[in-house]
Amino acid sequence: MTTLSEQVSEMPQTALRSPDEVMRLERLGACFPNRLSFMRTLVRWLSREKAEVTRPVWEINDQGYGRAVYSVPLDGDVYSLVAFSQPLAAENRSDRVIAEAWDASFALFDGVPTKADLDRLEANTPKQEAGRYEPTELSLSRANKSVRFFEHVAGRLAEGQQPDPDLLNSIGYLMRTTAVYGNGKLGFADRARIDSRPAMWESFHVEMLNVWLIRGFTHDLVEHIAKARNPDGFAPLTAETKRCLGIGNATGLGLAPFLVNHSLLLNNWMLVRETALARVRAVQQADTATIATVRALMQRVTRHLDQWSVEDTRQMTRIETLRQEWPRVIELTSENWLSQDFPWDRLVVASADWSVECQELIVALVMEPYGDLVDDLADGLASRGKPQLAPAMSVADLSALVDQNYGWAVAIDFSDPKEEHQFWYVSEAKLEPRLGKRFEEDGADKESPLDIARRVKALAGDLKDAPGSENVAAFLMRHPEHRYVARRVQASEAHPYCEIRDNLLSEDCLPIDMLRFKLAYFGASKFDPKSDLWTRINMYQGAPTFDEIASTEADDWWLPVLGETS
Amino acid sequence: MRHSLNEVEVTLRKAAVGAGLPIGLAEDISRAAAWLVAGGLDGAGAGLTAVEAGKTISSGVVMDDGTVRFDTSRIACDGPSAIDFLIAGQGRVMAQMTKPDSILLMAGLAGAAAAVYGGAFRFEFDDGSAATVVSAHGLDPAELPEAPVSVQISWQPEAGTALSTINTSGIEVEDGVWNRIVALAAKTYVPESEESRLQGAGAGLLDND
Repeated sequence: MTTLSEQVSEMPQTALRSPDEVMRLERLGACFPNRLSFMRTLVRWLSREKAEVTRPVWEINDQGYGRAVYSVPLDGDVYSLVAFSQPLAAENRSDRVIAEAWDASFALFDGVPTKADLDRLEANTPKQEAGRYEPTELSLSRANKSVRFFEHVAGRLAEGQQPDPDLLNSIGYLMRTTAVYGNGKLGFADRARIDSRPAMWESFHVEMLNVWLIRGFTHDLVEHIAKARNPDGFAPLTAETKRCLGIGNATGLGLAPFLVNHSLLLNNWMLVRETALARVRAVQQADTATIATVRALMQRVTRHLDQWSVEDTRQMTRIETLRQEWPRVIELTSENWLSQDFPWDRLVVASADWSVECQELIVALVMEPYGDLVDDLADGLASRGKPQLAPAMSVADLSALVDQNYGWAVAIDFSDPKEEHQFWYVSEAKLEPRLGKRFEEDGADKESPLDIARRVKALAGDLKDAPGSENVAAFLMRHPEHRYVARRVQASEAHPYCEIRDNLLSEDCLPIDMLRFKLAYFGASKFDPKSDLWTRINMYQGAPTFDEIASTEADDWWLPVLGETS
Repeated sequence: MRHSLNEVEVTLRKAAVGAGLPIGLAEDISRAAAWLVAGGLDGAGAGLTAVEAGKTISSGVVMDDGTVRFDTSRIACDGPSAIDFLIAGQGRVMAQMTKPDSILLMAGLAGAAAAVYGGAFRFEFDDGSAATVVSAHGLDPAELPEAPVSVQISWQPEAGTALSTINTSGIEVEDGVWNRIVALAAKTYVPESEESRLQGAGAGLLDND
């Protein structure tokens, strides 16, 4: 396997976009899924291997409660989703992390579980964080039904009909997950268990496989209930309806600290995408077929935008702006315009006249037809590394790095209360990450270390008072409080995209931007913010189903559109 | 109870912060503990011992010959500094530590450092015993003296070995030790309030659609 830096230098490419441009919250919060998003890379793995999903256990009663197992071989190993479905009183149904009961709970098992494994998991999985798990479990999750839609679909299928298209479009999933855990939590497997498995090496493939299998379970579950109601008149979901039924997800603040706590991973995600974009921008001539593909995708974008409506005012305004701008993008990109030299570079440059959301949509769009040019970069998405200290570095060199990569942080005036308005913390209630108002709420003394900008500014101040020739080892012996951020600053030398270049304490910081960014990297779409702190999304909508995964078309599902057969 | 390597690392990092250590030192302590656990050793217990010894201002003093001396060696605080000086010194300096509170965690810090910087760390104890720590797991705790003794540590940059296969089945941690770690970690959590419950995350509504 080549290293990311080796891959980066192998192909012609334009200059990468600057971290000062792409690592701003506003732009991160305008991110769209692209062909290197984790769901896409996983589906390509599954498709390449013509993965065959089996269902060795289906012990579900007529009301839809019980347990089931789905197994899928992948790259020489077998993974099994163990699913439990149970009754849930309406008053207990909440998407919050602090919930304690769910409609369904799941474990992704390494191998095929025995009956003893199933019994053990049945005693623990429905309790989620209150249970304990073994190293054979790779991921854990839970989901709640979209009650009105699940019941609608079950009823319609029982009557021999398909779901109402408008409801299908407005909701788009039968269940939504409320957490998907991995990497050793609650006693289950550490990442090290699967590090040598190429199919699971890439970022979040374990979790994304878990979710893809859950989606298939929800399809089977609703059909099972409908059939039990009316065995003679029941109709199964059509292939197209199934494809339009993704998995919902309610995501809160938990994703935001992840991006700060995994700075090298963040760097790799961004470096891979920016490198992919730079390779595409370096294409001198687009062939006729590629131009046709892009123009067809532009039409799909139009329909996707028409079908993407949300209640959130800020996001809806942005969608409406996109709807106005997109015809201008189409108008500009005639066949003739795209047939001239460096069409994608010219398009990216031209997009500067439109909204940031439109610019980022174009970035994802132009990558789409160039799998042969960019897909190899997916190997570089993962990172097992952590920032490491370079103790021999001089104080002068560390100061220079601060100046070079953290000028944005040093420039912030933290004497202005609005720059420290918020603080991040972990609530003792199920360890839920939360955001508080510093001058109104208690708890700032237990603040989580997401105050990178403030820490860098403090470091910069103390570096000025230290001899420039002193090494970092000596400096940190006197200033252990700077150890955390000194490591990050040093890491920025080789990892230019490792830091979100905004003050996460500021009154202006909107966590929803971080959530949108990470969820787009997962491959999610139809972002539906419910506040500045949480959002709903749809995962795998439009993606191949169990029956379709071996199809050669399995990769063509960027931006789902209801009524379009991919 | 058995705990995963990640559980030990994450919970011990929080415990170190809960005990008052800066997050940067907490990271080093928890990584050292994880390195020990990955080799099947009691990283949780070693980490807890060091964390409970309490935060102190580093006692490190740099001597004229470049040797760094720690007279009251609190490994949670002085251990990472000792490693820093050894790495920065490129094998030309030594660290002297007087009766460190957790020699096993110091070995963990050395092992975790060897995994990053390569080389081998040589521990020479004042009772005449000695041990070598490299990135590959295989440290025999029996090589480390039980009674508190002082130690002189050096780093040999060229002497490293490759990483070995690591334990991926987690490790048994004695419940009493784990409970003390969890109690310290809990000091980093903010008590629940009605306002934080409603305004701090997500929406206060019941998602019952």
